[in-house]
Amino acid sequence: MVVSRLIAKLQRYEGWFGVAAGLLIMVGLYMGLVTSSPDYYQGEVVRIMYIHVPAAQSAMFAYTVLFGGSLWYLWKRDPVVDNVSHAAAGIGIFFTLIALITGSIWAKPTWNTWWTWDPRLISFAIMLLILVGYLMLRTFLEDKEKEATYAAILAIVGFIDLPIIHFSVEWWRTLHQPLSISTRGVAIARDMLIPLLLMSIGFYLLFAYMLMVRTQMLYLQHLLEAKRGRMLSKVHL
Amino acid sequence: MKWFYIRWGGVLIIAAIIGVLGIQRYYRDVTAISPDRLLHDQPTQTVRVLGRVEAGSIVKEGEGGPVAFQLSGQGATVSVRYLGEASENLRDLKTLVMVGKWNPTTHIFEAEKTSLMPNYGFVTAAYLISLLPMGIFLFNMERKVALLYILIKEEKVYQPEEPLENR
Amino acid sequence: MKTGKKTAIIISILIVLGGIGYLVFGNFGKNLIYFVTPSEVVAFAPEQYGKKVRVAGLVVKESLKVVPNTLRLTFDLTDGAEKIPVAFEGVPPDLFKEGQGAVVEGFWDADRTFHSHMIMAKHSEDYMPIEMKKAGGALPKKDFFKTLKVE
Repeated sequence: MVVSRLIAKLQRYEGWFGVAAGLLIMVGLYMGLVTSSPDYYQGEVVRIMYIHVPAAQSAMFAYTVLFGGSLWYLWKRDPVVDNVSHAAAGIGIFFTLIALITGSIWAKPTWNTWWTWDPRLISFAIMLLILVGYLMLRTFLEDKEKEATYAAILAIVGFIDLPIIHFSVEWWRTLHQPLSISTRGVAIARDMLIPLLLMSIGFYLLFAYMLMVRTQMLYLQHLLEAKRGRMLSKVHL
Repeated sequence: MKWFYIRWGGVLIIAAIIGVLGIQRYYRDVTAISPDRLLHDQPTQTVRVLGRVEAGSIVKEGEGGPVAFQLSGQGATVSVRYLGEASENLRDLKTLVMVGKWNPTTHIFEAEKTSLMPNYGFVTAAYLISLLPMGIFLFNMERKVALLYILIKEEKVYQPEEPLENR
Repeated sequence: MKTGKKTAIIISILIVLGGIGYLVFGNFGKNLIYFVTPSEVVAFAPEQYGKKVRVAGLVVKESLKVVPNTLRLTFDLTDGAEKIPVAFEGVPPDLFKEGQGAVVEGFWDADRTFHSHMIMAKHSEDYMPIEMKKAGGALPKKDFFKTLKVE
């Protein structure tokens, strides 16, 4: 009964994550949109950073969870772990889209273009496509175990894109600015760093909360399907 | 399900309050009018005028002194005399906001402050495009989970070790 | 599995794979060199004249000149080693100014001028309030010329 205990735990603790995420994001939004100063060079548009960066970080974190979950699934073959990876992919795609769209809105007034074929942008778009492929794969196959295995392999192979996204701005010539927080130090003034950190932590917590809710959703759906006799094979009760 | 709707009702109310406060602030602090509106309305109070500096129109009256130039937008052009401290934003073909008063006798807009173009449109768009779908996504997901729990209880698929919280 | 569903699966897998392939092999390969630098432009062979390229550099201070009452302007772009003159027509982006990074799209011609209709501003990774900048504040950022990766 490990599984039902996990679900009961998720139920009990998810609220804390939700509330903490909500509070941090609210304070972060207030500081980011109202009290922090405009940037010396970009002016007010710099405020888009407070949502763009956390969304991109959470998207990459979601992919990392997907990667870890996929490895674990291939090793232990635990269907609930597969539900966790599947949930992480669904949320990851959402954050990836937010990062791409807010980035595009930021790019127009700063760079003067909505989109350009810059290595950072391309590698991020590839992550979106990998996630789309992953979710498509999850709807196709009749054999749920095979489906989970193929999906896990795809997720593991696609993980190679993550270091490319992160270091693209350091390795190649890009229009996108280099990393602000790196071995060089922190190149963001404190006034702007605080709302950014609050939003980042808030988004990580929000991701954790969403992951808990979505894992339950997928698990319950599978449970229901199993009960209704469509796929009895792999759900342990 | 009752708590679920109460919780989301709370979220909606908070979002509405923040939205109203934001709109109020926007109208108080950051709206700007075009040179065309300035010439038409000739307001007497301090206003913010958004326009583009005409190429080659900047004339400096001595180092650090007032700067005269033409600001255009929406098909109209006004002469501006800027008395504030030197700003590197004041350059040819730059779109910016000048804060000041219209002088009806000299027909010159006397500005004491510049401000960058209020890109609040972009900022607002970015936040709305992210936060609204996020709320809808989360709402749908939570609703689905709550409904699934009810469905599963009814079908008696799952007997939890500890009683499930009443959702 | 029904044939219709199977076809749908194959088509959508092909679309995703095609998309990734297009990005990886088409654009990524080409855009690993997202822009060239003024030093490389100066060394262009005549057959590269008139071809569309992107050049990144720093807009040289006090080189920007506008033609009054037109949308034409000229300025110099440098990568620290070489300097090229750029002739631009259009409204420059809001963040375009002297002493800042810019990526210009256009072509290099036999008149040894870069002709462009499109400027993108390349901003650096430091963020600080205006007051801090005025007070001479500086944050640890990568040297701009290093971000161009001049070889």
